[in-house]
Amino acid sequence: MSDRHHPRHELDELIHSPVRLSMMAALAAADSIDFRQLRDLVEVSDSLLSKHISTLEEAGYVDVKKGYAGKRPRTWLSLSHRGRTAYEDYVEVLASITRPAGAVE
Amino acid sequence: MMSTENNSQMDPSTAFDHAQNVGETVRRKGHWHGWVWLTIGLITPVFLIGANVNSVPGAVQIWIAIGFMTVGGVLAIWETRRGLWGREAAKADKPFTWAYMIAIAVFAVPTIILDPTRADAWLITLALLPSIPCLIAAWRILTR
Repeated sequence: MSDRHHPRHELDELIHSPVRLSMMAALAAADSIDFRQLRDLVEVSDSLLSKHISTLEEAGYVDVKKGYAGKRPRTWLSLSHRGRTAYEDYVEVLASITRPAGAVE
Repeated sequence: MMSTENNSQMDPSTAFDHAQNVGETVRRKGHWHGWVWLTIGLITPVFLIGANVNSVPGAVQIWIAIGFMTVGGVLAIWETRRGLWGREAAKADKPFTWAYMIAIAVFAVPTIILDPTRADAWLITLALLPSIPCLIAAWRILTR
């Protein structure tokens, strides 16, 4: 199999980073998560999470909604339709690589 | 959880396992909404019967109503403070809330007309109706 045909070339590089994968996996399993909850789930600083949110938002993978809970500002994050499709495709590629029959390095 | 920014060191197997684990953690955290539905499903018949049957002493009726409103208030505050909405909860919320409200209306109309003095079979049956959508919603959320 040539490099060009190996499924790893289909991995979405935008998702295939530890922090962004954690974010995408978390958001894919939820309807929406607020900023602080996601920060605690992914275990990163506010600034690093903000940076990755911007990256994913620019790619159209994440929707950001700002609002208030009482007087407290809250930021809610969710996967866009495009983001969910990209994540499902990404997991499908990962599965095809890690499956015994496709585990060719 | 992974917390470093190092793309090159993440092999596909680790990434796959990680994605599955994060997904499972988030799904578990999203179960809280199922417990809200379960609580509402259990306390609603107690409130509907206790607060509407004339043979129940007035003071008890008041305490039942206060208890119901207190639990409802606590659940509402708890909801606003939660930072994660599960997918199943988001899907279930609207239709099951409507079903609950309709079942409450189905209970309210005959009790207003008939003004029950005892917890008769028809009253208990109608009081249990609103619990059905609550319990189905709870089951759907807690089992997915």
